[in-house]
Amino acid sequence: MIRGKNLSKVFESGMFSKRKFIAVDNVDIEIKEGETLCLIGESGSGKSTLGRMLLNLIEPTNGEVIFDNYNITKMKQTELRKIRRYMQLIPQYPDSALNPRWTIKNSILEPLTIHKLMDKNNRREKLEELIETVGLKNEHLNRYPHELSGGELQRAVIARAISLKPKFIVCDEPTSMLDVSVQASIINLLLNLQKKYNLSYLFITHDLEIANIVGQRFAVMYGGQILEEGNKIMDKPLHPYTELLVKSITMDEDIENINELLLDKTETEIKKSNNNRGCKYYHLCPYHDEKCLKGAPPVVEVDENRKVRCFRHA
Amino acid sequence: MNNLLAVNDLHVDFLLGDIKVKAVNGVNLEIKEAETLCLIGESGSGKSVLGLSILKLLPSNVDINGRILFNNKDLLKLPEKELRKIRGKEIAWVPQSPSTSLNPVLKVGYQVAEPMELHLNMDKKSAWSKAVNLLNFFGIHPADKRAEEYPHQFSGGMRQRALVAMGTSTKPKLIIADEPTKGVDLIKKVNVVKLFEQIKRNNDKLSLLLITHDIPFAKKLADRVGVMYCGQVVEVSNAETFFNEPLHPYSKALIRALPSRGLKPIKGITPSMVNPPKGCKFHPRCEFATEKCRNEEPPFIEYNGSFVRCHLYD
Amino acid sequence: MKAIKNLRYYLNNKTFFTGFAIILLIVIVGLLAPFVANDPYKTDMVNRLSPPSYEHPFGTDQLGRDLFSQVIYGARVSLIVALSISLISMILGCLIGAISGYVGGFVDDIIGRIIDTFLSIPEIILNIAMVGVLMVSLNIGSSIWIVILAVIITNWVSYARITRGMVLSLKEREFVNLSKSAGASDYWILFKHIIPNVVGPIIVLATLNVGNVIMTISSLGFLGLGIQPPTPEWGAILNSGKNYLMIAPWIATFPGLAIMCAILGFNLMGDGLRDIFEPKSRRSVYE
Repeated sequence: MIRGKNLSKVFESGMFSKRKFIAVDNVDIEIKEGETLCLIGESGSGKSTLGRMLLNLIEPTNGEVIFDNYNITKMKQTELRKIRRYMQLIPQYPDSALNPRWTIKNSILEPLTIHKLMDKNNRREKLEELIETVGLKNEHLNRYPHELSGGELQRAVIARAISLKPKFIVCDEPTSMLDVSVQASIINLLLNLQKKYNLSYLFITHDLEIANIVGQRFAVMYGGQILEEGNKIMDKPLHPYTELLVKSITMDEDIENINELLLDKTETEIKKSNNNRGCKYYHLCPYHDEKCLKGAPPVVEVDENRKVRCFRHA
Repeated sequence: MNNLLAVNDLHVDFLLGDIKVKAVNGVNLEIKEAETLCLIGESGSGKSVLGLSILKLLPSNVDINGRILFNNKDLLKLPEKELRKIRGKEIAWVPQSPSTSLNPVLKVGYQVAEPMELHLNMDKKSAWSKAVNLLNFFGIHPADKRAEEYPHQFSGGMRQRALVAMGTSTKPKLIIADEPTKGVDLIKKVNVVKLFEQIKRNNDKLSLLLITHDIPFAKKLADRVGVMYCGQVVEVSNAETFFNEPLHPYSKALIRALPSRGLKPIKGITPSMVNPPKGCKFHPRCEFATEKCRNEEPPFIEYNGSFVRCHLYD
Repeated sequence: MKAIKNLRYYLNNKTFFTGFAIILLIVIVGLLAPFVANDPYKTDMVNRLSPPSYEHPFGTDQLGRDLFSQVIYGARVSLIVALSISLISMILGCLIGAISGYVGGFVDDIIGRIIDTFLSIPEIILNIAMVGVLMVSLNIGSSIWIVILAVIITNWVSYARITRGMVLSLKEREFVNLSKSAGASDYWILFKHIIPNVVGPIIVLATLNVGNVIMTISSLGFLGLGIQPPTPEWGAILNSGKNYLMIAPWIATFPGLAIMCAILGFNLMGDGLRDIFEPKSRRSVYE
């Protein structure tokens, strides 16, 4: 239903000596109707950038995004705006997601106002329906964002997002800023909404346990690339990085050696190694050898629904 | 085992204009020698304030009442001069994630050496070489070169370890660490676990007070667990009890809200610290609440080796 | 925006209230000038340079004109000129700054450089130069219009710089992204999201700026540019008084005090407004 082909994003800085940072490197991604793809990765992996590229909130340097047969990367702004109602975003930081000078009520109704989908009469009705669905109360409506808690704000954001009856929502770490108890209710809300409205989710997270609960399919991202993709990658990880992630859940210390290397790479050093040839994961991989530097590792289709980007499985 | 630190009936109120926020509302807590106590709580529970008040590092618009006994001295009644001898030397503070905790214009080596110069009366040269040794010990290589660098040249993990080096340099009796895993990626969390285990191995008489809301992390390190809710400690149990069969209904609910334990949300909302609920602070959200709970505040009593603040165990 | 319209905030804030009271007083006095004061233009050579007395509460100047009336009528001139300059340069500056910040790219580069150039020259020199340029190019002698035009041209820059800065950072805020993803057009975002967030700090800046403008026109008057006697304007009176500081210090003193009061009033208002607009950022910090 939504597909990204050859998506790349290169950030340049500096007026004269342009420094490049490749945030997303030639990624293919697809999410079908009604399914949840969990995009797993650590900070700096490019997962947020990729998610926003799918919504065209960040313009791809290369590649295209096709939503339900519409090529949204090539569309004109005026056309695109009409389609945007079907693709929404739930961001990571609820407290900056809403305009601090707008009341919650106005923020929730904004999308409907923009698309002129309601009038004075059914305004009240739509509002009540929305807040009931997400679990907010009337008293929240006339307040301002700084008067609400993180969980309540996130609910308001969700109310906004579903008000236009979208088909696809990018959830960008929606609960990482929330407390454990609130996390549970927000995730449950998202799962219920998915069932009710047959939504597709791109669920971006760094928390594997949540990913397990939320997702049907998983993709692991590192250094701007998807290294492994499939339904059962957590039970049987093929890529060394996935393996490392899965082991980290139990915080087991036998991941000793690999971590020494991860420990001290500063941001700049990682970015430098970013631009070389060969497998991006080379320096950190316990199984690496010379063939891993020969070129970009191939994407191997191990079996139905499982792809790995690694020389070992070629 | 003796008590290293005992907090008796601590009340900390923040005065904001005409509003009084009861951040810490009657806390009794003991930290024994050579034990790791994890203080768990969600945002707004008062755990950070509790940690800060042990070292009297709170802003001036607070009202503190109660006693904090350390080595038979009441820290709250000590004059600043005496307190400074304890702060940094016998009780060390390792603050939250490190980008603002280190002075950006001073070399890291200098900052790590500072507590030693101040408290152990070491001269600059010996303090510096000791600092280099510490950096080496905590895995920052090559230590002598890195000590000459500035914080921005360190990665996040390295900065955290530098802060820990700073904290442990004077061989304190108690280290208070504030949210050591906040904002830390999954794989790097393992390193944080290893870091603290290394600290413990290096100094077996050391007590650790880990303030965190990261329950899996606490599970890895805790000897005992204290749970805070709405400014009060509602349970203190040993680790095994807490993670398998917690006593207080809030603890139970918290464990059940974890993704690995079912992701069951806690009904209700976070209580206000300005107008906390009457009686038991948790009663509006408690499945076992009775009339007594609504009216009478439960005492903090001992039960089977744990302490609980709940009428169920009265 | 409802919170800002809540009158209670304004009345309770002591700083704002004091400042507002001072300004209100000056405005009322200025309005009531014909009833309170005599003719400021009437010369009286017999009583020139006489010290404050019952007849002339502030004394007389070198031509025997009643200083009290001059200062009172001067309030009108100074305030009207200052307020109009502030208002026009505010609108001009904010518009240019907002567009520059939002559109970015080449346009922003150029406007940014213009702003930087203006700001690199010390204010008073810039103003003097601007007055000179206008006088020459428009071939008019020193007049009130030259002053107004010159100061507008030099003053819009500070508004533009602040607005541009705020717009640049607001552009990146998450709620703008969410609005975009809901299908908002650039106009919607600019006028419904960005501008409302800019209004608060700009109004604060404006009140402080009025004080600055008063200072500027008074300085220009003091230097003999812009408004000249007999038109009563505080700076001009100060200027004429500087030659008589030893024998008739009251000529310079009273307009000086008036300038001081006006600037104080506006500054207090600005400070108070800053507090009023900021309680929104007072979040639940009780952790």
